[in-house]
Amino acid sequence: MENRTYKLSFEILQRLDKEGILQNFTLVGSWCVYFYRDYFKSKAYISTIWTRDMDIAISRPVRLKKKLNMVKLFEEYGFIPEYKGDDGYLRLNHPELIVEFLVNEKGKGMDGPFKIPELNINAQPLRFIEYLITSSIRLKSRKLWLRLPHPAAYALHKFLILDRRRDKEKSEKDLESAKRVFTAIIKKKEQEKIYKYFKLMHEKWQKKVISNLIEKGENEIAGFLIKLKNKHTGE
Amino acid sequence: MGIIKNVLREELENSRGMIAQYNAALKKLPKGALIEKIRGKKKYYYIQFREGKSIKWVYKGRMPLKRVQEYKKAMELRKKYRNLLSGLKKQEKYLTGALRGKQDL
Repeated sequence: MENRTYKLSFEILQRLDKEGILQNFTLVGSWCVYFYRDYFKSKAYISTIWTRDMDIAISRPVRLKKKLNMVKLFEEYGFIPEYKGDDGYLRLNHPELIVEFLVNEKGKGMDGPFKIPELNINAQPLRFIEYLITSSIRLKSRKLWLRLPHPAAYALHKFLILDRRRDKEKSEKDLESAKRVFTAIIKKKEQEKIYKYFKLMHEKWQKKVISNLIEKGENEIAGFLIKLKNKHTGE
Repeated sequence: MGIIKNVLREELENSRGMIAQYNAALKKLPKGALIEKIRGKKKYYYIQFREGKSIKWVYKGRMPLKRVQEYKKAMELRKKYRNLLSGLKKQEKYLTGALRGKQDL
């Protein structure tokens, strides 16, 4: 099952690249962890459990050079479009892969999905997505240049949203995955990168990260972040 | 363990949802296979489908190329959906077993 999932995901990503649209997308969510293997290039990095959900973030405002009917494109591979719930945001289902599109939620939030007619999709607006997009890096994986958040930003974002998860077990899964990535960054001696992406967060968000970690009993990581910040601000 | 079970449960829910979606998509596709017969220099078409134990043929006569292509596309899609559905049923069986503790995780 797993090999077929990777094969299909690469096939889709290659197709999006061929269509000249891949660079407009940032891969977020648990699939990043799989691609971070190419970032860490070390056996010390052990990827975590991930589902077949692939989340693709799109920057707002949407600036695309060409129009592309994503639903039709995915249907060619046997995907079935599903418009989820009352909101009606698009989910493309395949036995090996589930693709969803996300955009940043601004201000008071939106009632329904964010429509992107250029791509014929309804994206789901979520908080803090812009942070993941702005902190993205380009990573080469199997001859394909992918855009995904820097591992430090991925981990910090997971810490930030820990209390937003309604499902307790999902929140635990997030924490587990973020901790593994965080540890791998430290092993790679990239503490400065952690600070770089921590600094990129709003002051309120930084406080939220710390309080979420303390609430989950992750005092060591919280202490590490406080020390790192104090070291740079001279407090 | 809770995390793994939760992931499996989520995947099982997804698989079940998808089985229903693929079944619905299959129902929407035109029934039967398009069979081409050449008489002289002209092509004539039949739709062949199963009804109970018997195979039925419906004469369609000459068809515009666009319609033929639509039929062929639908046949390909049906084949694809059937394969995927079969995979999904295996997934459902595996995941149900894993959640009951009958499969190695």
